[in-house]
Amino acid sequence: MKHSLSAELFKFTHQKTASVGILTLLLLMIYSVLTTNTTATQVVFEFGAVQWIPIIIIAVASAFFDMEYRNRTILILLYKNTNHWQIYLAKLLIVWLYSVILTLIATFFTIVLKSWLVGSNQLSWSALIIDRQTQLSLLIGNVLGTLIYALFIVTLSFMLIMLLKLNAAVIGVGLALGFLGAGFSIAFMKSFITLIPLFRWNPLNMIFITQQLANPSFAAISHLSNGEIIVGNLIYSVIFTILGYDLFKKRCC
Amino acid sequence: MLNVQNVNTYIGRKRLIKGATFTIHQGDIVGLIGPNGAGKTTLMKTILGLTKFDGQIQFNQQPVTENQHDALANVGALIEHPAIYPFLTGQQNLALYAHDAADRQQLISELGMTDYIQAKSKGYSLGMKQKLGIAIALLNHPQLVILDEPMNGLDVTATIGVRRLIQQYAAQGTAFLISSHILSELQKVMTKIVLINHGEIIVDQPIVAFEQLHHQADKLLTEDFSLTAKILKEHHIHYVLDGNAFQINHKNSFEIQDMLSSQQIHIRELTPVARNLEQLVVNILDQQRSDHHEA
Repeated sequence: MKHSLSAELFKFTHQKTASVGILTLLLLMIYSVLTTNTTATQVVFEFGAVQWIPIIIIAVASAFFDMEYRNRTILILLYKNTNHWQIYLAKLLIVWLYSVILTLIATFFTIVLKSWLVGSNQLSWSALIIDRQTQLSLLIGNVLGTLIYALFIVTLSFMLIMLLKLNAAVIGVGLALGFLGAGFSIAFMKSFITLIPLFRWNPLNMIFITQQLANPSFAAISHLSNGEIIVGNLIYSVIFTILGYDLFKKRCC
Repeated sequence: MLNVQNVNTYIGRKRLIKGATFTIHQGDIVGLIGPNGAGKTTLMKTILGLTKFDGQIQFNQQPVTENQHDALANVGALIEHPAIYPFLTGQQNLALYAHDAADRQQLISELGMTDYIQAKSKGYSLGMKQKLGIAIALLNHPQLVILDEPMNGLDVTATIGVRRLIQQYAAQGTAFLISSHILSELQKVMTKIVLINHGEIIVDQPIVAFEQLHHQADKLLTEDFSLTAKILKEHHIHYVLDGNAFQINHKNSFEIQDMLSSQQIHIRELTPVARNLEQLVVNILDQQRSDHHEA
């Protein structure tokens, strides 16, 4: 596993995708700063980074696995390893670690942008805003939510690239999830109110973790408590990993 | 070393390899020959445990299955196209798999890749990529190397270099299983032939025995051309003239020698007509086709 991890890290860090992902995130955050007023909510949601990180991750994750098939290097990976779990898990871990780095960069950049745009006196980190929580604790809640949702997204995109075998299709699904997923989930539950106890566990609903941990009032929209939405995300991550690995084993090289 | 016993390979429900059985020993250079779609690449992938199969594959007495590849630690392979990461340099591609930097450097130098090995491999020509793919397969002194069309895209100098490298590794005990459409090139290195058609192995022989078995014509030169022609005609023995030499069927050669001896005609030359591997393979495949039609 150690060898697989170091090999995957070596490949990942030598691809342009990783640095392009970081650059894209920073540009999108700057775009958000330039086009909207800087409010406490904007800061808590890291100038839109909470929304952009899952989309960047889905593109990077599917590209990272897809390139092994495009370059036919999967063949060496498979015949040199008896334990194919190692290949799958090593890739998954590397991309999730990348999402941690993206989140940390976004947080650091948020702090820089906030102090540059509004100074340290206004919108203070210790000021109580939503639900009597400080801006700092809301930001930390969002960061945690983004990291857990990143795991959901990485496992989902790995499963999708095995299923659809087309990078562009996976990115399309990622964009749809990022922009329409939450809306669909709300509409779905509103249409079938009696089935909310069941439908609140639908995978599209899991995206609310990125907002709910910081702002518990979102629980009224997701119909899941903080604990439930964390468990839901983790369970879906396990399911996607198992299904994705099964498809990986069956996929011909 | 490698023992393939009654192996059937399936893609979906279709059986692509049918009861393949053959062995490869240390230092063997086995040419895997067959028409397009015969199953060469599938057989190679099967040996590498990359397809569903039944039967038995053992490498150094260790089983190879779809889920058990431990035995393949000392096997190198180049299947279909070189497996290269385009965003890495040639050196970095090799470093991903190399256990020993000296071995890696030696391969780079022997394959003439020194000038471009530090450049990103996405800019490599087909031949440069092919050499890098061969180098990856030969890394860490493997006991068995599987090469699928290794001469693809190589120029004359590179082809000669790869051929020498294969012979050098084989002399040190590495076994090779090589498929190539350039049979003349394969003929120069292989010590054993495995001919496959429609997923079935139809020939599995040392190359010397194969050539002896399948050569069918002899060239005959005597001291007296006209008397020899007369004797052959009288005995209704078929021949074809090639200048002042007779081309006779190999199975008649002893009978003809006896006749000429009894007439005190001296033989100047009696040699097998050299046939290239391509002709022999085409003949066997044609023969198999006509046997199928008759059946």
